[in-house]
Amino acid sequence: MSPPPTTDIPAQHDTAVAVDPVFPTTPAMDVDRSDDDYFIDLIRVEERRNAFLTSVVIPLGASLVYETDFNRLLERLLISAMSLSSADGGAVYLRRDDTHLRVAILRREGKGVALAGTASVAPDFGPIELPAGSTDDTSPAVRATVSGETVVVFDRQPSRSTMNDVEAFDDRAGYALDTMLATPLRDNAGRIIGVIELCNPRSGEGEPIGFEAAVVRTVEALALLAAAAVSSYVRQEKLKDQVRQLKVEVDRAKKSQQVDAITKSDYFQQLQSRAREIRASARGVDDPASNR
Amino acid sequence: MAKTISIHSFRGGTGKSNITANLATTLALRGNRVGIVDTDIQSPGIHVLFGLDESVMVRALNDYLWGECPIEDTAYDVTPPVVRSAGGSINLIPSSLKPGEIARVLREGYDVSRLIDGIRELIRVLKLDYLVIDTHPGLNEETLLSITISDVLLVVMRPDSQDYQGTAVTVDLARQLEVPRMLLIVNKVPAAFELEAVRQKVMSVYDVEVAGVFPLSDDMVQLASADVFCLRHPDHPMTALFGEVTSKAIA
Repeated sequence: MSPPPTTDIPAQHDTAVAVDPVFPTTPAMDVDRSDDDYFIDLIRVEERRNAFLTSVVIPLGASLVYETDFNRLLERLLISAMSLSSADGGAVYLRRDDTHLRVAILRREGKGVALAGTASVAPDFGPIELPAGSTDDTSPAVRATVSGETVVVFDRQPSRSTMNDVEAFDDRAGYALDTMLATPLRDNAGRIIGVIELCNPRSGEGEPIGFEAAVVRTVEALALLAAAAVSSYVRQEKLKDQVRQLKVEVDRAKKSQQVDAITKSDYFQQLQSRAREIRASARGVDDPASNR
Repeated sequence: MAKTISIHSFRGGTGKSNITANLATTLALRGNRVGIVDTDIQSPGIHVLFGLDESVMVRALNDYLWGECPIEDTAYDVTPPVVRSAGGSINLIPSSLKPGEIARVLREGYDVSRLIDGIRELIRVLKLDYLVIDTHPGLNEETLLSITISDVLLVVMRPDSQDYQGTAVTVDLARQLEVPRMLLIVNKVPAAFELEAVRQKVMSVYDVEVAGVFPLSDDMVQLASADVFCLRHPDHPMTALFGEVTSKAIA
């Protein structure tokens, strides 16, 4: 709990504000405190959130650009987003092409599920279709990708007949989804290259909570920063996907001519006729056949 | 029984000298006495990697061939401390101080045997386990001679259209000179290429075993000629790759 506030409104650029590594949550209203005091609490929390943004989120996002291992990059991104939003589960999807997403990393802390990132088990989900038409009854990840906007959904209960592979996985694992948040990842041309999806935010005591507006904004900020790092890897993946073939062209006829030009010389003929003898002699061995 | 390994490339800039230095060092780190014949001391090459300045090299193999000095005078000990502790040694032997001298020796009627005798003497006096010849790029008389006296030929190429034709000619000639063992090394492969696919492709085009495919490495570029890579970065994946290539070369 923060110390009782003074009656002065704190200065806008007070850099002495302590930065809490945990995302500052909105204080609850307290009937014993005056409205003014509560207003000041709210301002302090906003300040701490700004400090969180500049001292935690922005450096984190920027440092992702230097992450050399793509799996670690995805993991750091997802874990950070889950941590600051108190989400129990999350996933990062990458856009495979215009019509599909693929699951790049998945976590379900409550069930101890860790797929990809630095975990040794890779996700084995099929590509997730991005429908051309309506996105009703599709997952938040799909909706966010298609609409290009952050989506927050309460009490998501996908119908069995239209479940995608991830939803089917959660269903089989008995992992019930309640509140979900999905926000798109864009490259620097503004194209959507993927989406971060978070689910089941929990309080410290394990009670279901929601995704506050401030949390949503912060996850969006992280997504924005991470996009630069992610998009460069996606570009590289695309290059590899194109299976750049090594074209080795040898003009055999020309080669024969070039070889003949050399082999016809006296010098070469001399070398060739004495090659075995020369080799044995250089090693100081009398019988070349005794080599090795 | 000393083994002679020639390392050749059709063009310059393939990273041949670097590979030679790392290969020789890898051998020496395994406790072997290694000699490196440097045929190209006019350009920055092997001697720079071992920290040897040209001004120090006053005698070359060529001088021995003309009878101007004993063979020991042509060898320069460049053994790094860590190699010495491993029980190995590296001696650098410039082949000639001026370009084309060895070829002159040959053209002026000296029998190839004279050079061969010189090589044999070198191996004997320095008690070498391996003699590595860093040949001049291109198919000149010295190169062909190196190939002829070698037990192993490593041909270095880049995945570059200018290398393909020349490498094919080299491979053909080497076969005609009956080199007992020949291997290709593909070096400086850009990131967009998948290394195993490159290996398969090159192997099928030339019908020669590929000893190693080296990616274009930022670490290597940064180190440049300051040091021998496998000494500076003993735990680097590239160093492990040098180890594999070395083992294949001497197999």
